[in-house]
Amino acid sequence: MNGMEIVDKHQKKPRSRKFYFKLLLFLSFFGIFFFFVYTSFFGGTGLTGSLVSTGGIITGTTPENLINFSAEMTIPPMALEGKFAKVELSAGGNSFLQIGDQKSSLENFRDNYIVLENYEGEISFDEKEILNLDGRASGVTINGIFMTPNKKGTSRVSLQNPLPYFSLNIMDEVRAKKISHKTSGFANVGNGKNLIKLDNEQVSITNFVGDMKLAKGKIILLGKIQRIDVSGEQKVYVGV
Amino acid sequence: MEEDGAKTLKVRGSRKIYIPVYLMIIILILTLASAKFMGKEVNNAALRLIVGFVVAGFFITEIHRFGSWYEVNTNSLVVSRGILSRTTRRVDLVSVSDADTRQRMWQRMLNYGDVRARLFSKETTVLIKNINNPSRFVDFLEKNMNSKKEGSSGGF
Repeated sequence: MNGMEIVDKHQKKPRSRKFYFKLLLFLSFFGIFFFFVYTSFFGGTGLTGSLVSTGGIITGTTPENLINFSAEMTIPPMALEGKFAKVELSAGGNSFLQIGDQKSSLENFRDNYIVLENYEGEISFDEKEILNLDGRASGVTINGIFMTPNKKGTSRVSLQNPLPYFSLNIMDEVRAKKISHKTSGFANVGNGKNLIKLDNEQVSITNFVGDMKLAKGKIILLGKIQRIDVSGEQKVYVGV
Repeated sequence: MEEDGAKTLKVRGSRKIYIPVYLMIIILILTLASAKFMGKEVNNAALRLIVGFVVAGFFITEIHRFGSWYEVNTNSLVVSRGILSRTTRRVDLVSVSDADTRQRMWQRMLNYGDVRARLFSKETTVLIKNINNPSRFVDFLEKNMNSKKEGSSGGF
């Protein structure tokens, strides 16, 4: 029997790289197609983002079992991305607000009152300036004047340069997977059951859902959280 | 196809082989447009994925297409494959015995297909894959083969 080789006639031919490439291509296409259809036409939630996202709470936690939370702290540099029912902004400076194809100067008045209805996109800010604003809104008013075309749909809204601001209110609702910064102020967790005084301490808030107000160098958070960790002289955490 | 004074013919693979990819891109763009038209909210991640797929689709198909080219000149049939590392095979026209075309039904409908050039010396075939108008390529190849053979037969 030496030298004889048994060949299995039914042995399958190995698939070529071309086959796997085509398979990957089709799977990618169908994956993207169904993900898009599901999120756009059937109201599915999106994937979670890096710092802040449009949807999705960490698995196992629902808004029902989050803890009530409010806080007033110094403002950290932050970038938000999501869909907000209303964004109110009181600001003025050497910048332009691009709304669709029209450009509105924001340096005529020291304090412009800007309202974005159903805004979806990015907002990033620090203690003094709105650094970036890029998204779409169904309605934009500047100092009470309606700026968007009176038709169904949304208009692209973007800020040309960083804009110094006096106040910024983001309502209904901000969803932040993690807010982590060194800050001073106070935090109220669980309807007054836990009052935490913060004195230049590292605060880490997990899964914040609610409204955000910024004014006079302070950020006010009002909503619910999954947990808060404070690392200072003593380590404190409150969470579900 | 590029013809240089009717003595050289240089071709690349046809873009028609990428029709399935182009169809996928069109379907995604149409779905996106219909969502926008109907005033649906478009998820940012889904939008980015679509843009990525469209850009990658065009980019990869063009790179793949530029990866190989075929040339018939007065002396030889040249087949070049590869993007970063390139293999170029140069076959003397005297050693080409015959050539045929191979087209499936949809390839005939879209007028593209393969050309197989057989060689005298070995039982080998030079395959020119998925080119537009393969019969024209074969005609050109035969014309240059005949010219070359006539030119080289008057030596004695």
